[in-house]
Amino acid sequence: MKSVPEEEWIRRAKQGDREAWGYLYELYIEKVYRYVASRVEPMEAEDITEQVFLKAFQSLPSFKFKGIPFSSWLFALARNLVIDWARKREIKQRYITREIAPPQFNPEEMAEERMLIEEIMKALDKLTPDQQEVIRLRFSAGLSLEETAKILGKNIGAIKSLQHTALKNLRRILNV
Amino acid sequence: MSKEIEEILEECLHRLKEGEDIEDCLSHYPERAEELRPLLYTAIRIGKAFSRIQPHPHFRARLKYRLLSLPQRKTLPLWKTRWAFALLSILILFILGGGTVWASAGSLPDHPLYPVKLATERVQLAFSPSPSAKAMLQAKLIDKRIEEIQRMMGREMPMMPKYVEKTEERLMGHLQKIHTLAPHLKKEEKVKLRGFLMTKMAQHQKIMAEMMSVPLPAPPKSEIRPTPPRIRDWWKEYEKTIEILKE
Repeated sequence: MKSVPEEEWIRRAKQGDREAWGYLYELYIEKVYRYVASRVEPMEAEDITEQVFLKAFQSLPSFKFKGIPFSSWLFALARNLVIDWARKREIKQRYITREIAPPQFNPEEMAEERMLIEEIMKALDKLTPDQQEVIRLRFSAGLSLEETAKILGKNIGAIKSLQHTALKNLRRILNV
Repeated sequence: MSKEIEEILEECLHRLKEGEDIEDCLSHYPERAEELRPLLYTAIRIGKAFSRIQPHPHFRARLKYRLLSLPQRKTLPLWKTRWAFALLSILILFILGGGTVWASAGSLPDHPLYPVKLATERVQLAFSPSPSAKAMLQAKLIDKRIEEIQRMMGREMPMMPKYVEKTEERLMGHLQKIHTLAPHLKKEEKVKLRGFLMTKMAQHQKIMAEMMSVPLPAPPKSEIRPTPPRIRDWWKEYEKTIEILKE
């Protein structure tokens, strides 16, 4: 199953193949949720993630393989929905507590993890919007430089430079 | 020639992702090690924090079930879809007649002919032969939407806020389409489009200033109070579009 290239799964999903949809869902659910949860309040993360996949499901038939990777297309959807959410509610993005729910962790570990996440989120808040977006797309969603560049409509050189500056700033803020 | 620090950083991040140790990675660039080490530790810390954000297993399972329960949508091959759309469009235009299309051109969102106006625009976009032509048409449609908002706001009996909001959403949609098309444009096409948008922007700035300075008419009895357009939102997007076309 693993030997089937992603493009083939997408082609099959476009034709309504549920197995292919299930495969793509499992491949991206964590990344999409992580990206969304890093940008909105925890209560909204599930709703928006759900909207991303529902919209992707409905729009997939119109997805075209024209130099834009599927991941960039999917994350562009996620990004637009997050932007819409922020705009509609006119809420400044705040970071309170995030879902860190893997049940195998004990409460002490969870509290520690929560603190680690909060610290990173607060530090991210101090970056420019472009730097924040590059860090989120690369480190929470795990996207490549090329995929990030496509989503943000910038060239790869600009993304590398933003990544470098963002890490330098975060290093200073987090006192690494 | 020595590699740029951004380049080396990216290479090291890639190596770390592949499972390499920080020190092993730095050994390839001993002269930049001191500079790179804290950045890589920062990257690891961020990656570790993000990896702890997980969807709840119940949510994950419920959403998968919901998605897989949706009715299947099979697609026609692309050429069939395009032909079907083109034929349907021609048929609609033929039935409605050129006069209707012409009459719809000046309609506002509350007018019965407004859907004809939008359909005509969609047909024009569908028949635009290149990303550059599509982007330019989207830019021209921005102008139309702003004109509509201006007319709606200037009415003695202001229109329902939902019409203004919807028009603003369409305006944002045009700007976002240009963002999507931007990577496919050649340098000279970007310059041309940027020039067009900048000229329009100057005109729109004036319109916007007028809209902001005119107080909204008092709401009539039992009428929903009109809301001022969310100018700041789409204006930011407008500026961003011009910025994107600069690259």
